[in-house]
Amino acid sequence: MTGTTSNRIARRALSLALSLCAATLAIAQTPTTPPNARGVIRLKVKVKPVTPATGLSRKRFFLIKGSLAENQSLIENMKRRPVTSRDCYYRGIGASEALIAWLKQYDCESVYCREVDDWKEVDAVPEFQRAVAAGEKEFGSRELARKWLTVNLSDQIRDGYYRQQQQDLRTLLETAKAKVTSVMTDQKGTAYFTNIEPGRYVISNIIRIEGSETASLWNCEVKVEAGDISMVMDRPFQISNTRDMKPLMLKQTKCFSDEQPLPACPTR
Amino acid sequence: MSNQVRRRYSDLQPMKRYSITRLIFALVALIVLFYPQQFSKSGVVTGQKRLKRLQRSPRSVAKPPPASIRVDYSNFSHSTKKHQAACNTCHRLPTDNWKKVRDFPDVADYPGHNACVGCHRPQFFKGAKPVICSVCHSKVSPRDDVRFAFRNAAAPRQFLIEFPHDKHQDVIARMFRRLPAKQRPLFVRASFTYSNPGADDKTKHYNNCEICHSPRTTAPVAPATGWTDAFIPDAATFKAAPTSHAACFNCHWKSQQPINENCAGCHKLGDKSFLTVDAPKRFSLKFRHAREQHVAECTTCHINITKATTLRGLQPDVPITSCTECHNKDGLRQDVSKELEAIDKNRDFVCSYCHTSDVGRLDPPSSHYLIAGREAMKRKDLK
Repeated sequence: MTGTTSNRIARRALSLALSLCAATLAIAQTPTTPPNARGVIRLKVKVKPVTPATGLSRKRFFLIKGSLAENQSLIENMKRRPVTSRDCYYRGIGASEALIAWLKQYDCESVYCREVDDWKEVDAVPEFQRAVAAGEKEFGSRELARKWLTVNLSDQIRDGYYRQQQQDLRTLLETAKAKVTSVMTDQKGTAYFTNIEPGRYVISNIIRIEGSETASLWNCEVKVEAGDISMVMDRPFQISNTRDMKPLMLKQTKCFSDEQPLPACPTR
Repeated sequence: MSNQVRRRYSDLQPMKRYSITRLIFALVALIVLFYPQQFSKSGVVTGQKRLKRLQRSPRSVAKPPPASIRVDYSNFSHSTKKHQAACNTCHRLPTDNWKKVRDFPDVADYPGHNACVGCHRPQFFKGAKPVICSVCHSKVSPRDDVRFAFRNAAAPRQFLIEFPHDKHQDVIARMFRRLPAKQRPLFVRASFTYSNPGADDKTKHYNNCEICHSPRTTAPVAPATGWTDAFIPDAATFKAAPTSHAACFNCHWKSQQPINENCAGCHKLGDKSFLTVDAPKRFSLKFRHAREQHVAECTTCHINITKATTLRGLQPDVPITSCTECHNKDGLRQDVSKELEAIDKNRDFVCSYCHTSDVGRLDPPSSHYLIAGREAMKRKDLK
């Protein structure tokens, strides 16, 4: 009697262990996305005139959590934000035409764009002349005054344009309580958003980017899936500010910008 | 029911009970052994751990002595509570000697005696060679006022540097429009001779990463354990990083915060003092920045640097894809694939195209196998 009972219990225990083993094997075979899997976006920004080589270089793009619909009010606010062109900003603060011409000549947004390394440029721009004169008085060296020219420019000229844009950016994001990360494009217009939780996002530049005649605003919905960077190298998320491009490239472009003409500057 | 089973189980012969228990444990152990990912927190099998970047990592030097121990006055520490007044309480900016030792106004010398003697008069006049003098003076003698260079490179560092790469990259951004040469504005002043704008572009130096990270000119210091495989990278393998205020004050001298008198805007007192280690530590030590084909912009390969708001926790951010766009492309080169195939044939093969043997003998990470379009594998699993 005892022997029969013990045999039955042993068999039950064995079958329980085997069931446990089988269940684990079944779970192990089920393909599951690991909870910490992350995705990558390879962003490519092509601008007019579009050729394989033209990319929008050194511009910041933001990745906003949620779909276009979920971010609708933020996007509406972006579109409503009045555009102040670089030239209008500098004219508005009373900058000299020579300074505006200097910025324009080198496609600069501010005087931080490059060093004023030529005395002829200093002589041509009244703001530069005044800054060098003040610096020479302060440091006792005309050469150092030229190198450190920006430290003796007025706040508005030095970085006022940047600060105004940053203020607008902060206001837009704080109002929407949006969760964002950002990256900057390289010289070919490529940037990577890495280590992203899979889901729906909006890629946006938030503050319109000024072109030669219009200002561009991108708001592009993208679905991020888990995967390695090597998987997106041949599948970039390409966006552009024009449809005027070769059919193949047009087909590869996922999203186009909303263009707004640059406003005329108020006369002084 | 459970009581019945428990009773029956206790009725079993001790030997049989022991066997059943052993059998269950063995099965569970086997399951855990073969399917570890089902039991790990992340759900992912832990792979090869990357080496920690050691370059410039803080190294603890010494803990401040407890109050009961005699104070070592040869060691000055900003961590001491009484040394945490406003910076300009002791430091002058610029110091009187700046024109002799720098080509820009700077803090180029130690504070004067007044900064110390107010509290440390007893230590100042203790013995013929007061130990407190050795904080600043290379030779302790009333007839010699020679001081160490400021700052003393051999002394442990006490401050960490704040630097937001993202902001700095934003302010040097350019407009994207390129006007045709005919539409470019010309300066009208007679003193300004305007040349061909196209030619100008080649000579004008735009501010970019290189204003702080120019090619390194001095040879790197050998690691404490010596160069692996006796491979000594030349200076141009690396880019330099700023080592003085010269890279900051040209914009942040005044007005543009953090300015020269706002030391705390950039310098944060660390928890411990540390020595910087100049010896390079890289995964791919054989990559030379200066190689003529490596001409892309920094951010093309350093893909995460434009979102870095601080220097804390910066990680190596060059993915293998930055290399394999040229080094593992059909019709171009197959440098990664070839070395993976070499491992297939000989599991002790050491990858050497990019790596020195300390890295090259490890299991290639899964990213390398993905590039080659293969399943990742471990050396130990190869026959």
